[in-house]
This record gives sequence, C-alpha cells and structure tokens, in this order.
Amino acid sequence: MYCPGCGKEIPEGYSGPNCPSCGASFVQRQAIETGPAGIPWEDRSRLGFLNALLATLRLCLSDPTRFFSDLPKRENLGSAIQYLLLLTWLGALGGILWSWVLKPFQLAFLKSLGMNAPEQSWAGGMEGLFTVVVAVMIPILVLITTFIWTGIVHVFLWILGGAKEGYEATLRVYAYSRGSTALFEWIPVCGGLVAFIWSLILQIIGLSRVHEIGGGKAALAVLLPLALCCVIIAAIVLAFLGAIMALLGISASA
Amino acid sequence: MKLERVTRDPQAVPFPLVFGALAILCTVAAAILVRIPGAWLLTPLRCPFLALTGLPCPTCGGTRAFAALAGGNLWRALLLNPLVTVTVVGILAAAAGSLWRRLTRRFALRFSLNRREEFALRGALATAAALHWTFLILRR
Repeated sequence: MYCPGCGKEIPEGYSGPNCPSCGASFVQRQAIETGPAGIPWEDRSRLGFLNALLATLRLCLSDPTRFFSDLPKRENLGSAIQYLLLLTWLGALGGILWSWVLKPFQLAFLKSLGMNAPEQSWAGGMEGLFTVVVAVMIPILVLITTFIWTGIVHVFLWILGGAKEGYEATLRVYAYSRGSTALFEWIPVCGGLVAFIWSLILQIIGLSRVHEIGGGKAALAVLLPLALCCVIIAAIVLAFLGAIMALLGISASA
Repeated sequence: MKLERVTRDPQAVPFPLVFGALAILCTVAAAILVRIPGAWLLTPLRCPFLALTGLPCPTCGGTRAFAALAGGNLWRALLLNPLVTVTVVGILAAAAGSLWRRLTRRFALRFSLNRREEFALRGALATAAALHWTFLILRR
C-alpha cells in the first residue's frame, strides 16, 4: 500500500490513521474511495448508465458549487475522461451538423462584412470525407486539447499560488465542466459560444472548490491564458454583431 | 529544494509520459502543417492578436518553433519562440527521464520546494514569461 499524499510505501502492519512519512490522513482517503454521493456518473454501475449521465448533467449545470465540492480530487480519473469524451463527441456532432447547414449563411455574413472567406480548393466529396474524418477523430482531438489546456491552467494556478491539489484535480474539473456543457453545441448559431462561456464559469467554480481557493484566483488562472488570445473571442463576437447589424440594415433598406 | 525517491503507484497516470507523447505529436503535426499550402487549409494560419494589435502574442512563432525542433534546429526554434522551445525541450527531457527510470525499474523522483523557494520560482517564471514576450515584441 502506498500513501496517497507522498507516494511512499506504508510499512506492513502499520495501522495508524496517518502516513508515517508525510502525515496525510488515510481516513479522508477511505472517504474518497467509497465515492461521494454527489457524482452520479462515478456510481453508474449502481444507478445505470443513462440515469447516472442525466443526473450528473443536471447536478453539474444546476448546482455546480455542490457538485464540485463533492468531486473526488484524485480517484476515478478514467471516469471523468470517459464523461468528457462521450459528451464532447455528441456535442461536436451537433456543431458539425449546424456548420454544414449554416455554411452558406456564414459565407454570406462574411461577404456582407467585406471579409473574404478562404477559398477551398477541395472538391465537394473530399470536403465531406474530411468532415467524416474529423467527426471520427474528435475524441482524440479533445483528449489532446484537454491535456494542453489543463496543463496551461494548472501552471497559471501554480504561479498564482492556487494549486493546492495536484494536476489530476484540475483535469477532473475541466472534464466535468467541458463535458457537461458540450451538448449546448446542438443549439444553432450561438451554441458553441454558450457552451464555451458556461464551461469557463464551471471551471472557475470547480477550481475554486476543488483547490479550496478564492474565486478571483481561480478566475485569473482560467482567464489569464485566454486573455492573451481574447482578441480572437472579441473578433468572433464582433463578427456576429456586425453580421446581425448588416442583416438588419439589409432588411431595413429592403 | 528536496529531491526524494518515492515508490511508484501502479494506479497513477504517468503524466510525464503523456505530456512527452503530446509534445512529440505536436512537433510532428507542426512539421506537417508548415508544409501544407495555405490554400488547402480550412482556416488561414494568421494570429488574430498580431493582426489586430500589430504586436506578436506570446505564442507567435510557436508552430514554426515546433517545426524547427522537428528538423533538429534548436537554435532556430529558440529564436522563433523561446517559451515554446524551452517548454517542449523540458517536457521531452522529463518524459525521457521518467521513461528511463520506468524501464530500468528505478524509484520515481519527487521534487519538493519550501514556501520561500516556491515563491522565488513562481516569480522567476512570471519574469521569464514577461522577458520572453518583450523579446518577441522587440525582435519584430
């Protein structure tokens, strides 16, 4: 048996409540291992797959403070990753569908703004094939971006003095935040933006609960990396606003 | 600073190896990406921060730095983006060390810092990041 805190081997026959090397509590570890009642997804063998999924979604979106307070900090990382991959894949399928349906309108929006969309030299069939490949590869892409993003956030959290728990805790918060909001991508036009902003809010709440730090520090850790590329988001929002205004202008003059 | 040998938890996720694999994947992807003609790309490879402000963002040149690393040109990678280069080389070194210790069945290593050292390291990292960005802006 190994200590959850320092990783050192616990001498055989030792029965104390704390690690003899670092003093970490085993009682708390046992409580974590039994699984808190608040994360239904991690108890899906008992609750059933669909019930556990829906209950987790409901709890994470409606009461995130309680949800993340109950979140185990180290155990069941695989469960959290499965939740993330399943829901982001389902959500991304919605995003792909809407981008196909709305593509002519998006191009018209860009043209109305005086922006030239990049010319595609691919044939229609190739583009369809590429979309299918992307749809199949989504879980891999999500996994890659998840590790990169959570790595960056955890480094910022550490620089700000807020990384009270390990990297796994940050990863778990992201997995549940991003997974729970992914299905919003099925909302046409603004679904992706809604999912993105809601996920950021959940990440801030989650990090503050799991690392037991203030909301300001958690917000800084999430928003500072984004601040460097916030121009991208601002540009997207401005493009949307401009497109809507252009459309209104067209309808007013018509 | 304290360097300890700890027994590896077989259940623990080998994060240094995961990040090492990611660094290799990104390096290979960047090497392929910079060779793709611009007309084939779904979105143009332009930095919006640079386009709107005229200033490079801290990761500007990162893709080309990855590609330079893939070609083994460390100096060029450092000139293109020091932050990305140092981070990737650091991750690869940590992953190689972790892999070697696993293959030779050695104990895992754990660094621990006291509060003062941790505070100093945080400050040093923040300063290095600021200097890096200044370098990118001045070099432009």
